[in-house]
Amino acid sequence: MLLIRCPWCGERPEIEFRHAGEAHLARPAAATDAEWAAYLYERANPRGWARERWRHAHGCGRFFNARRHTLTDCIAATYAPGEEPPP
Amino acid sequence: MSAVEPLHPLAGLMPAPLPGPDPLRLGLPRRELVQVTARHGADPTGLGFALPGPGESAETAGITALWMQPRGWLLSAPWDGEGALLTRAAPLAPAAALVDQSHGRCTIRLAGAKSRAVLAKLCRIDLHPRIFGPGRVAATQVAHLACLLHQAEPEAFELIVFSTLAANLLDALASAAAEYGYAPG
Repeated sequence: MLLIRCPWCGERPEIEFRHAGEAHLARPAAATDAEWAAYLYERANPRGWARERWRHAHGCGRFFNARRHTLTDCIAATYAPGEEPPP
Repeated sequence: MSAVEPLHPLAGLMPAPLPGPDPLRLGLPRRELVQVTARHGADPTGLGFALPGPGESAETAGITALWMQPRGWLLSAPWDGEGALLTRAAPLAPAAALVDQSHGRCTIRLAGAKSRAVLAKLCRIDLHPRIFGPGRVAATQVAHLACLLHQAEPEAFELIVFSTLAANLLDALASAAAEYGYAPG
């Protein structure tokens, strides 16, 4: 069983969590159609370390960010929204 | 004529007692529940005690405050008439939204020496005393149902669930407790 650390609840089993897409997407203030489409649909989908949003859906219900390796599923760090991502 | 006291949603659904080597007690305490959600930037005070931090509970004058989520708590008190706890929680109102959940959720109490062993079959969080313990609270899944799990005493847990799902949880608890036996109470 994989344990994921919720920034508020501490370590919890993975079944309580839901993946919620790529993290740190900045909404452009002004954009061409192509830039807007890129913001909406284009994702990095890296093979390796990725920064992702996760939600503690069956616990406190809050969103947070995680740095996860997409090959090994290793989660190096989790941090609350608005916090600086760890190096 | 006094108002009729509402029944516990599980009244009449309690399974027949099952004898066993170390029987557990399955209780249906009638509780009033009030959900407290802090308003943006506000700090709810005025109950006479500080609302607890993550994973903790606090109790004063018969009101137990359970941490549910960041800036969100559930107040629980023995049934004292419709809306009584909401009235007692009124001092929090300027700083928090108060919602009476007495009918939306209900409480199942599991007590006995084997209560932790029974929950270990249904719930994936670590309930060992070195991690959990009396007074601790966890919003988690028990038998795949969203549940607020509160260790009220060293050998007693209270599970707060949506009333519509409570019969399933009671059934799962009774099944898990069958090897030790159980009795209402």
